[in-house]
Amino acid sequence: MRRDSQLHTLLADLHDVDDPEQALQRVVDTAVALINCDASATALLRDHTHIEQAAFTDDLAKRAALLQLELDGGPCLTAMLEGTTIRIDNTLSDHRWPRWSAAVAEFGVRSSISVSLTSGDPRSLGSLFIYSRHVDAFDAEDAAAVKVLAYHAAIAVRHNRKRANMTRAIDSRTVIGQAEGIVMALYDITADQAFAVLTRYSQASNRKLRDIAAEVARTRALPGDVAWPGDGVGRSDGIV
Amino acid sequence: MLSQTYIGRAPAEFTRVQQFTAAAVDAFDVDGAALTIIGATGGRLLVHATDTLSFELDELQFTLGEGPCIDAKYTGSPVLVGAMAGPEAQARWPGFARDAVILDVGAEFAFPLLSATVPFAVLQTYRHDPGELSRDHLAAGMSLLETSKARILHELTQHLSPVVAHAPLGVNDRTEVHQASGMVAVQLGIPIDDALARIRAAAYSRHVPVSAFAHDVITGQYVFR
Repeated sequence: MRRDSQLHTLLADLHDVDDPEQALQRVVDTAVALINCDASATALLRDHTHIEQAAFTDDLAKRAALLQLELDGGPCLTAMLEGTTIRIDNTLSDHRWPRWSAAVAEFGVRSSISVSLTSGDPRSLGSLFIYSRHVDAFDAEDAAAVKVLAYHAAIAVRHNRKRANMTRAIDSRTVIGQAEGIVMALYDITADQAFAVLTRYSQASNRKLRDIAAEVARTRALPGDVAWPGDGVGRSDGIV
Repeated sequence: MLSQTYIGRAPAEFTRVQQFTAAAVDAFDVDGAALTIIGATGGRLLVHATDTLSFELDELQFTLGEGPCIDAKYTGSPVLVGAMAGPEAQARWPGFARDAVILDVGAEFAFPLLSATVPFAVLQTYRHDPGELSRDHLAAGMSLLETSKARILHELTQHLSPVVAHAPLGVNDRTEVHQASGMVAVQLGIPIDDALARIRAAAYSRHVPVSAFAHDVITGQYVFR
């Protein structure tokens, strides 16, 4: 009962964080406040190999989390891939990830819970991990609580990303509009045609449209290092 | 003569925004409200305005580059103007306050919507009759704001995130003004920011909204030399 109301308050705070980095830190701080464990770690992974962002409440948690990538396996990676919750009651006697278990047992990690950061969307964002220095430290209730926390963490992360994307998109529209206007005036073409030109420059040079537009807006000319699509060489002084 | 087109009503999918602005009018006891997003690079996207005058006030602030909404966005705090005709407002926004009074706006109250500490949008409200917000109305309105903002943000992110810049949003994102800035920058050989300032000044001196004037620049009816 007490844990439920505690969870409710903690989860409300989770959604109130604006900065993505702070949000992740709030997740691990919440885990430690919610469950009787020694530390927590969370990581957002891209392609299951590349850490986009991570947060930890202590250095051991960080090592335990990162070792999984180095040693090519561990409960967090498996939890992420399979969308499951993995509880280890004794790292010395668990044989599922022998290299990892042996390594972390050596620096004191004896029990752990690993959960996928998922919120209904089948793609997992990463994982959430807690550990204890004691054997058999966690029970089914703890695992359930971590799972709920991970669910809300995933929502908070997605939320943060969306908001950041929205504001970035609006600023992009401004600079892309400006670049369109420049190209419209330089070549006496319509807005749609100007957009097509910018798009083709973006594709030809493998640069983001927003970045091409920013350069055009700043220099008042098309980037001079790419051939004019379809018609020969474009000159940066604007004369075709 | 350029006409003032009311281009401020959000498309149907922005149901929460429309409900919110209507509820804000009741809660704050004002005559109109608008939700606008002020970008970092000079853009201003009007998501929804409940009435023409709200749209005009938004447009006026965009034309002049000054006003309570802009201050609300940059300070992260509400900007409450009970006396638009009073000396404080007139001194703070000389161009805007004067024109707002001419438009029969006696008071304006602007509120930033914050995600944690970062403003992501501004609620603009106005009243014909001057006078501060009563404590009860201010409390009711702020309460509405606090309870609505998460859902508003969600709705905005759902419909305003397309990466493809040219996808029509259906909202007044003033693309033509930015395009016109680019054209004028080339026509006069000046930086974009200066071009926008020139467009604003020209629109203002002709007593037309900058969006409408920008349209004339784009269609070639007006060429800067």
